[in-house]
Amino acid sequence: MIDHNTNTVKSILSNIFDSVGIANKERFINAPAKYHPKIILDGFGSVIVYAQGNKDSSEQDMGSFSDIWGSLAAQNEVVKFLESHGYKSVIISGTSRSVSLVQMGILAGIGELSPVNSLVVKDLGLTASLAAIITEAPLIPDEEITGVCIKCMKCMNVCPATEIAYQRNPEKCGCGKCRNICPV
Amino acid sequence: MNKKSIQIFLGKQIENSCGSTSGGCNCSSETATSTNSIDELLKKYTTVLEGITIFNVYKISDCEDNEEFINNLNQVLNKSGKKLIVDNTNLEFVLSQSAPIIAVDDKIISIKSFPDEKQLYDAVMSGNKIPVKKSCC
Repeated sequence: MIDHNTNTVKSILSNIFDSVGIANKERFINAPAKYHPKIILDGFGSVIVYAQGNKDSSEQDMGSFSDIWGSLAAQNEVVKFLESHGYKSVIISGTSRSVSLVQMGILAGIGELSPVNSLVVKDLGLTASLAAIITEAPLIPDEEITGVCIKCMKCMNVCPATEIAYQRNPEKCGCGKCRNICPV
Repeated sequence: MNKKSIQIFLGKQIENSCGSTSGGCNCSSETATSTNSIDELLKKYTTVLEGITIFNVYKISDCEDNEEFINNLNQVLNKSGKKLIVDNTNLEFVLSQSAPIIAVDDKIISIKSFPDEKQLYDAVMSGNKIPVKKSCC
């Protein structure tokens, strides 16, 4: 059943999103309480993270998916599917500040941390828009990945909000320069 | 000539209180437009499109059944070729990602922000969609 549920979820989301990964609850043992998925859903079993790249469009709305209705329909279909099996599920949008989508993305194996503290996704660089579904369902987790970020530091050098790698002043963030310069 | 029907679906109003239709603001991804501003904007829309269109503005409510809102929004989504079906369980999330939604004769022409009256006039007359504004962050 876990296999079937995992495959169904990934199949639905892969029709719309470029990258889909899953982290199980064990991955979050050392997660900071402040950003822990249990804040959203106490009995969570898995976190599904998905990304859509915007490499071809510098005009892309940052943090949004290009096909907003298709992405909403896919996310809605996954939630309905999981809830039909008795698993409560909650969609976390890119604008959520109550959990860390970057941290979830790392633990779900869709990317790794960049020097400017955002998520580098394979083939999408820093252009990926992210969202997640926190669910009570136990699902098969993906392996965490490394080696996506090539540590060229171009993102950090161009960032007006960063003076030290992996530390950033979020209040100064939003120019999108790092997205455009990342060679991944 | 038949008048065009413009439908505007508003997101949840912050500080929305039961029995009141004023106060609060509508924070879609980019814009935070006060209810007073929305009313002023609707007046401008009505003025510039007077005689050409009929306006229907739909608001969700914490206090009342949103069945009419949901039925009308689903009709618009369906006529616009969207796969999404809205119900009470996903309505709030869908609107948080897309409102305000503006449709002309059941076809969506604008989401996520309010166009100015000229943009709306041009879109109504041409049938073209209004580009989604970029978010600030």
